[in-house]
Amino acid sequence: MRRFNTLRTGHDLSTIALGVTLVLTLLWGAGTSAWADDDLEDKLSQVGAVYGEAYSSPFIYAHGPNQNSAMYQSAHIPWSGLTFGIGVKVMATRIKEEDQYFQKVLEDEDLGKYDPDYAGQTGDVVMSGPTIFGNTEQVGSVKGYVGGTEVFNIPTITGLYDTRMVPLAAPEAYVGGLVGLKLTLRYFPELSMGSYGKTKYFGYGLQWNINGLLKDLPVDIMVGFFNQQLKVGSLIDSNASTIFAGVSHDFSPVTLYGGLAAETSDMTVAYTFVEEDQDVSFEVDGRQKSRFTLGATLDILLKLNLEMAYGKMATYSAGLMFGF
Amino acid sequence: MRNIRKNLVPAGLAMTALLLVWGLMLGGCESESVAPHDGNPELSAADAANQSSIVAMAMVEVLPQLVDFVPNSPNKVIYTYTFPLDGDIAGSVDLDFRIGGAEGASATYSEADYCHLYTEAGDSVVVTVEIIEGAESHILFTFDIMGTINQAEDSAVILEGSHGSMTSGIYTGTFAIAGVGVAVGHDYPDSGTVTFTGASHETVVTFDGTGTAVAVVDETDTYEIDLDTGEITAVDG
Repeated sequence: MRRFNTLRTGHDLSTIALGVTLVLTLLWGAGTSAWADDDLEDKLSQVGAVYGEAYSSPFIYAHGPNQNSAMYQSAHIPWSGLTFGIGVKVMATRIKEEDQYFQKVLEDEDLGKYDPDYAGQTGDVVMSGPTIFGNTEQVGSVKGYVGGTEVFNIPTITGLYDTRMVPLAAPEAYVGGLVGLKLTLRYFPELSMGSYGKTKYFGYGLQWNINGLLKDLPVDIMVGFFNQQLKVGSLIDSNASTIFAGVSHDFSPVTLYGGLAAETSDMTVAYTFVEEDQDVSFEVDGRQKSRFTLGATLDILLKLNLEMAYGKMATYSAGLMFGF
Repeated sequence: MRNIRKNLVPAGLAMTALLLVWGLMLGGCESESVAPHDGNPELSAADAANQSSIVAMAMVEVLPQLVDFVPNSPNKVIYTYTFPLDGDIAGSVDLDFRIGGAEGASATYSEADYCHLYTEAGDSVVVTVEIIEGAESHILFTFDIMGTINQAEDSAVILEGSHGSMTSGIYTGTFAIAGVGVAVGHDYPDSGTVTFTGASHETVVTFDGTGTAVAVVDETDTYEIDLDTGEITAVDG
């Protein structure tokens, strides 16, 4: 097993400097790029809670698995000597093609809630159309039915981005090396998004390698946990937690790793439904409660890893870490 | 040499595993579905009767064109009838009149003994009904109707095989017409049936020349249809 307990000055410092520069560049890019959330609030503000939740569902349920991904690139943590790294992790959860479209049915509704002309009339309401990751040209609809006939058809919103891969990026840093412990942080500096509010991202976790106690193991074994919160203005407040166990083996320069994890997540979405000047808020718990992870890390000057995790959702991650 | 071999095998295993990860990524394991995909609301027998009442009303408006039609250009091969703007039906149908049956020669409307009335491919007519007082619903219809014409009696009988479709939002149904008779000066079809199939129900509507038709849903539930208003009334027993 490799030991990262020596700091090779000059070479390591320049590598770290390069890594910090790249991470800062990514942070700047992420902060000034057209964040989906400004456009997402524009979309959601045109619909009520039921439609908004159905429309956002692929984003809501993919976000938790994304946050809980890419927790480690190796189970190895030295028991003596310093280990440090900084970099970025990118994740993407792949949604089913059918989730680019939704249909939500409400039976025996007061149709007056949707069209005042039908106040007091009971009927069925069918909300359908592209989800947030569906067709950006097709407009969804809210349709009312009485006696098997359509009595109103209200156009709604288009999809926001036509894609099946739901992305997330997380700047990350870690420090460790004392009795097999490693502290990991994910942090995104608070950025002002104008009238939209501020974006905050903070997560922390601890990992522990047991090989210091069980020295003859042929593989590295590690356990850990991670908690994180991501807030995007007043629109999104998401939390994610995971506990995991990982195993790895070094086949220099490649390390193979895998593991199992238990996880939870939740997201609260809040906005104003403009047409009715009504505050809308809904909280949704993530569906994925566990996962299996398989990945590989290539360590040449910097650490590049690729991994796939599978629970109820399939999530792909990559990481680029500079350190030692 | 031994050291090189010693490193090659685990490195090879590592690369194989790496390729496996890539393969899984590219192959795309499927996530579970997370967006709602509710089925269409099920329709009751009364809902099916309501839909069939709209079909019946459309028959009252459209079928008499086989005998009532008066073109503004008498000698065309295929005529087009556009429904009046102030009526409950909007759109156009084509009428192909023939003498000597379906395979006969093209004829004028005044000498034909056969007519094929139809909506063009991709087109439909829109029937407007007031399902709820003060609020209108717009239902799309297509027609493919064949009938024999009796010029002496100014009447026509719709032939079996005539059919069409009705669409109202998420609900689509088809109808088949058999033996429906229409005549000049008669406000309603004299006889015959229209069988409407939609949303897991089959409704048979029977005409008798009066302003009331009888609809039987799934051979079980019976309703009367007011052919002027579309209102349905359940019949006990």
